[in-house]
Amino acid sequence: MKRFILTTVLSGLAAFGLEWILPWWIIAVVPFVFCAILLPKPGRAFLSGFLAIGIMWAATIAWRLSNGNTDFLASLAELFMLPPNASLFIAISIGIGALIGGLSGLSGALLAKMRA
Amino acid sequence: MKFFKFFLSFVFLLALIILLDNSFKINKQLVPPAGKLLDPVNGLLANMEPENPEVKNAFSFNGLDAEVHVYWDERMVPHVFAQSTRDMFFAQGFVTASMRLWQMDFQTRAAAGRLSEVLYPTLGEKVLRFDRLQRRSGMLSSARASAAEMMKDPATAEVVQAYSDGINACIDRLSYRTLPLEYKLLNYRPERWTPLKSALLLKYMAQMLTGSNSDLGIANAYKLFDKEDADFLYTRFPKGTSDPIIPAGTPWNIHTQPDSAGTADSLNRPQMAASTSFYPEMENPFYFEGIGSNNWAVTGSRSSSGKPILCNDPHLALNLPSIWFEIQLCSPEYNVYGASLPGSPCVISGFNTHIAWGVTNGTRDVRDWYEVEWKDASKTAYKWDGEWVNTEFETDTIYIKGKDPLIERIPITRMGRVVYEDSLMSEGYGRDLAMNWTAFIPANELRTFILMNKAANHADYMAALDYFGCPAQNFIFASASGDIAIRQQGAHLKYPKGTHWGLMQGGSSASFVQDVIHYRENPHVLNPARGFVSSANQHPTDSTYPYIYDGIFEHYRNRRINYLLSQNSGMDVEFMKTMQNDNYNMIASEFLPLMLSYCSAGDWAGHEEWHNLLKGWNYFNDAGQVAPSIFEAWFRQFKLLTYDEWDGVKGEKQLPPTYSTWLLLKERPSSKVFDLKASTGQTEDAGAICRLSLAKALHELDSLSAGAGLEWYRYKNTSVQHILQLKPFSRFGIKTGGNYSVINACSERWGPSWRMIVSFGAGTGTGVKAFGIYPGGQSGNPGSPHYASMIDDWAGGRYYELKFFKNADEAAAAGIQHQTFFH
Repeated sequence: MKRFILTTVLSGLAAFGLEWILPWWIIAVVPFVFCAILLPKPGRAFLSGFLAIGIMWAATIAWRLSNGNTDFLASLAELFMLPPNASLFIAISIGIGALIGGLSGLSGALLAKMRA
Repeated sequence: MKFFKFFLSFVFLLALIILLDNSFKINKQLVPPAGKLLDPVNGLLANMEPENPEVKNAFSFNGLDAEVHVYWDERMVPHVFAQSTRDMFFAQGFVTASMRLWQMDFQTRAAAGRLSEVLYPTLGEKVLRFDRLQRRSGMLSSARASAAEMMKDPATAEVVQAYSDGINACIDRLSYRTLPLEYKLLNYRPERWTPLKSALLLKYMAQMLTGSNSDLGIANAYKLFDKEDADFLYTRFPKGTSDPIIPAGTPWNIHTQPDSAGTADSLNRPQMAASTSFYPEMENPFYFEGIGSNNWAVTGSRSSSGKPILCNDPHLALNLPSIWFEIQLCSPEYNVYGASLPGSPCVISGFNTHIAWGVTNGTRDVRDWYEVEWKDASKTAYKWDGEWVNTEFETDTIYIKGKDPLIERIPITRMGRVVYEDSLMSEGYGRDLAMNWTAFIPANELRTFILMNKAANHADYMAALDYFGCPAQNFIFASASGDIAIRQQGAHLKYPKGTHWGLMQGGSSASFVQDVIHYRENPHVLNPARGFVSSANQHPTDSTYPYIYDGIFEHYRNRRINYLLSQNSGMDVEFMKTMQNDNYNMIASEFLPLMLSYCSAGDWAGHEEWHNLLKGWNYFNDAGQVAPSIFEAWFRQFKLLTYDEWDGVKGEKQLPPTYSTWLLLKERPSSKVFDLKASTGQTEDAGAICRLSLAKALHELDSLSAGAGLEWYRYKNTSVQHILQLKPFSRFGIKTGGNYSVINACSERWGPSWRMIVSFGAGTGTGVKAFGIYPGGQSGNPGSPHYASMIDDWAGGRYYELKFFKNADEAAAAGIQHQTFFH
C-alpha cells in the first residue's frame, strides 16, 4: 500500500514538473518508468498511473480555474462539438489524462514482469 | 505470453498518443489533437487569463538604444515611452505581437495566398482556390514591390525593420504553452516576421477597400439592360443628389493639361468585346459593397470650444480579434495616439498634440480589366498594337499541407496580370482577362503614416499624403491651431475623354491607361467657408472636376451628415457622439412614401398593425423598433424584383446605386426595368412591383414574427465573429440599431470598426481630449477578459475617454501597470 501511494505520488509530481518543460505526452512516460521500477503489478500499476495523472490534471485544472472563468471552458467544449458545458469539458480532459496514465503504468508493469 | 500482453498494452498506448497528438479526418470532420489541446498544463486551458491580467513587468532585449517604458491602462491599451524612434517602433512591434500575433500572422498569410499551408486539411479545395486567386491577383508580387520601396527609403526601412524585430522578439519568447490558441487548434507555429509581411498587411487593406470588380459588373449590366436604361441607372452623376466631398464651387487648381478636359459626364462607350456571354463573377473575399466609413471635422466657428473637433468611424467587417489596436507612441520625435493595424507600424487613424486625422474609403474604381487575344492555345504571345507580343510568365509556388506543392504559372501582359483563365474561369466564357490595379504601382504608403504621426500642421499633412498610392482614402484633418481640411489621396489614372465605366478594350496601347493624376490635383479643400469638412464615400466632386472617374458612391450618409453639420453650431463632444450613433434612415424617408402610395389597404389585409407602424414611423432604425424590419424586408424584395434581370446570370453583378433606383421609381414608374422577366403575359410597372414585393415581405415577416420577434436588432442580426468563424468565440444578435447607408452603419457583418472623436481646446495638459471605442477588445486571446469586452458599450453608443499622456511621468502617475524593456 505504501508502495502504491509512493509510486502514485511520485508519478504525479514528476509528470507535473516535466510537463512544464516537455510536451504533454511525457505523461505516458513517467508512470511507465515509475511502475516498471517500483510497482510491477499490472492491476495496481494501471490504477496508480490512472490516479497519478488524473489527479494531477484535475488539480491543474482547479488551479487554473481559481482565477479564470468557466465561460471559457464552456466555449472550449463547444469548439469540440460538445454541449457548452464546462463540467463536461473538465471530465473529458481528466479522463483522457487518466486513461493515458493508466495505460502507461500498466505497460511499465508488464514490461517489468516480462523481463523478470 | 507475457511479451504479448506487454506488446498489446504498449502498442495501444502508443496508438492513443499518436491519435491525440495529431489532427486527422473522420468522415470529412477534422478532429484536432485532443491530447495536446486538453492537457491543462500546456493546452488550451493555458490560454485562459485571469480577471485582471497582469503583464510581465520586465523584459531584456538586445539592440535597444535605451530603456523603454510601457504603461498598460485598464483596457490594456499600451502607452509606449521610448528614447528613440527605433526603440519606439520596436516596442510597438513587441506589444502588438504580445496581444495580436496570430491575427497579424494569419491576415498576412491570407493576403499572400498562403492559407493552404495551414488550412488545407480543414477547408480543402476551397482554400487552394483562394490562394491561387490571391497569387494571380498579384497580392504577393505587389507586396514584394512595396517592401522594396520601403527598404529603399532609409526612414521607412528603419521603422519597418525595428517593428519587425519587435515582433520577432515576441515570437522568440513563445513556447507551446504560451502560443495563441489558434495556433494550437490549427496545429502550427508562427513564423518569423519580415518587412514583407508589413507590406502584405497594407495590400490586404488595399484589397479590402479597392478590390471591387465593378468594370465587369457594369459591362454585364449593359448586356442585360437597354442602353438607354443602363445609361440612366449607371450614370456618373445622378441628378439631384449632389453633395460631394469637396463643396461645389471650390476651385480645382489644375495646372497640368488633362486629356479628359470636357464634362466628366460623357457617356461614350468604348468598343465592348464581341462576345455575348457575361463576364465572369470575380471573387473577392474581402471586398463588400457598402464598405464605407464616415469622417467629419468642424472649425471653431461651429464648436462650443472655439477649436476644431474631428470625428472618424471607419466601417469594416466586424471581426474578432478586431482589425484595430489602440496604442500610444511617444519618443522625442512623436507623441501620437490612435488605432493601429496589427502588422503595420504607426497609428492609422488618430491624433497627436498638434493635429488629428482620419480616413474614409475613396471608393473610386482603381481596377481595370482588359480582354486578351492570344495568338494560340500556348498563350506565349498576345495581340498588342496589331502585332504579336511575347507574354511574360510569373511562377509562384503554393505549398499545401499534406500534399505536393502547386506551381502557378501566371501570364503577365502589358495590360496587366491574367487572373482568370482555364480552370479558374466561370463557365461559358471564352476570353481571358488581364487586370491592372493601382495597388501594383510601387509606392511607400508607410511613409505617409510615419510623417502623419508626427505632423504638426496642414503643410506637414499635405506633404505626408504625397506618398500615398493605394488604397485611395479621404484623409480628413484638423489642427489645434484651427484648420480643417480634407483630401482624397491615392493614385488615380487619367482616363481619356469618352472613357466609359466598364471593361476596357484590350490589345492597344492607345486604350491602355497608366498615367496617374498629379497628386496635388486630387480633390482637396482647406477651411471651406461652410465651416466643416466631411466624407462618407460619396462623389469627391461634382461634374465640373476635369478628370473622369467612376465608382460605387454613397448618396445617403453624406447628405445626413452634411445636413446635421450645416444645421448646428456650438457643437461639442456629446453632440458628436449622438451624431456618430445617428440611426436616421434616409433611404426609407425617400422610398417609403412612394412605395406606400402604390399600395392600398387591401394589400395590407391582415397586417394592419404593420401598415400603421410604417405610416407612423419616424424613419429611425433604432434597435428596438419594429418598423425598420418591415421596411427592410419590403425594400429588399423590391430591389430583387426590380432587378430580376440579374436572376440566373452567371457572372459579375453590379446593381445600380440605390439613389438611381429611387430616381427610376420616382420619374420612370412605367419603365420596362420594372417588368418581370418571368411573367410573360403581363407587364409590370413600379406599382405592381411595390405590391408584389410587399406580399413577399409580409410572408417572410409572418414566419419571423412567429419566432423571436421583429425588433430591428433581431432582424438585422449584427454579429462580430472570430476570423475563423468559430462560433464559441463570436457574438451574435448584438443589440444595436443603424444600417448600411445610415450614419450608424451597423449592418449584419459590417459596421463602425472604430469610433473616434478628437476635440482640441477641451483638454488640459496636452490640450486635446479624445474619445473612442471599437467592437472588440485589445486582446486577441479568446481566453482573456479583454477579448470582446467593449462590444456592449459600443452597441450602446458609449465611448471611453482615450488616455493621452503628455509624457512618461504623467503615465506613471496614473497608477496603471508598468512594464520596462531593459537594453
